[in-house]
Amino acid sequence: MGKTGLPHRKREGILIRLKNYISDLKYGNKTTAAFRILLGILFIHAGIFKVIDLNTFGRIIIKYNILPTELVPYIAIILPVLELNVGILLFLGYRIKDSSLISIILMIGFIISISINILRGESFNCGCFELSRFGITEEIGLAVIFRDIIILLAFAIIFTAKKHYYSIDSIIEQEDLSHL
Amino acid sequence: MLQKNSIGVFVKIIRRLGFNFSLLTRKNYRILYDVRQGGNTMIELSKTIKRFKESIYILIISSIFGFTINIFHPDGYIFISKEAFNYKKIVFISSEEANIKLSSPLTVIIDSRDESEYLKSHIPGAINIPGDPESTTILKIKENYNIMSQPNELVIYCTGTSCGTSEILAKRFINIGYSKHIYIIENGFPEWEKLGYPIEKERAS
Repeated sequence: MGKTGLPHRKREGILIRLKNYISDLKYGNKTTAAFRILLGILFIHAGIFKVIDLNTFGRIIIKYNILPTELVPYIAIILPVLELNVGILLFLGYRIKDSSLISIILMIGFIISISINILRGESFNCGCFELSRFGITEEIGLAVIFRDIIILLAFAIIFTAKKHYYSIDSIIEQEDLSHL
Repeated sequence: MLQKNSIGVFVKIIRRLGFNFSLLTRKNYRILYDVRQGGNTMIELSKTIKRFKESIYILIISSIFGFTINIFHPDGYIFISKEAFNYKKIVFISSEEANIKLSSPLTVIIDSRDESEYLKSHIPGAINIPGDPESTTILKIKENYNIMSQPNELVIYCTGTSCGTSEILAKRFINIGYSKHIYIIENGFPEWEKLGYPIEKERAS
């Protein structure tokens, strides 16, 4: 019996199973597909509401006080549509690597911007994923950074995965392999 | 067989909609196979570069869509030059509104007409800074700089909407760095006089 109270062999079995599960996750299993689809829906939701209310999103970018004022309209116009496109691509599972790469870059940008403003002592709605519409607070803080880091890790797993279930890319791959 | 043909047609449609082919085409599959057998790392690097290129395509397409949506969006951004944006500080007001502003000691009234017209008659307290030529304008601004640099409101007038010198003078103030709003009496001195507001006459020197 080990310290956990489980027999030694059973503990090893759980660890091996966990290790295998993580390897499967990194290779690409149905959980990876679930991450991809859910994050795609999240980006679609965020993109749509930011496109509808361009001005509010522009004002939030100004609040961050990182970019020059002249660039704010360009970011306010391009970023929501980029999020929407990336969300659609992730949801459908087409060009997964490209869209997850863009998502990783966006998430790194969000994390850096929020961190800078936390260090400045600022407090405002981060305007990340428009979740305040569902009563989920997105006030900048450590909780939001932690959430964004988790999302970033999920995108990293999606990017590095070799197999993607329920995706257009996998259908194309199967079709191509069948012609070899 | 029917299902396989359907997938084939679907893949063809997707390929036609996309701007690049799947990385796992026959040629690329062989390259991937070589990499797994310990192939050249340059092939891996070229895949990364290709990945970045395709991501940039997505960014470009998103930008095009974004600007198109902005054009038709009711709250879309309007792009104007920095100059035009600065000139939005020029506000046209009526003689009645100008009369209210003049009751404040912080208001400076400027007559942008020629000196001869100014000497004939002008609004009491007005400083003469002709809008043209530029050399005269600059000289007069320098003479009155101490007034300009105080936290004052500027109200400019000339002979009315066809005059134009008041707007020229206002733009010159903005170009030299005046950062607040500048008010122009839209219908100029003739309207002021017609409404019976006070005027001052000086004899020609």
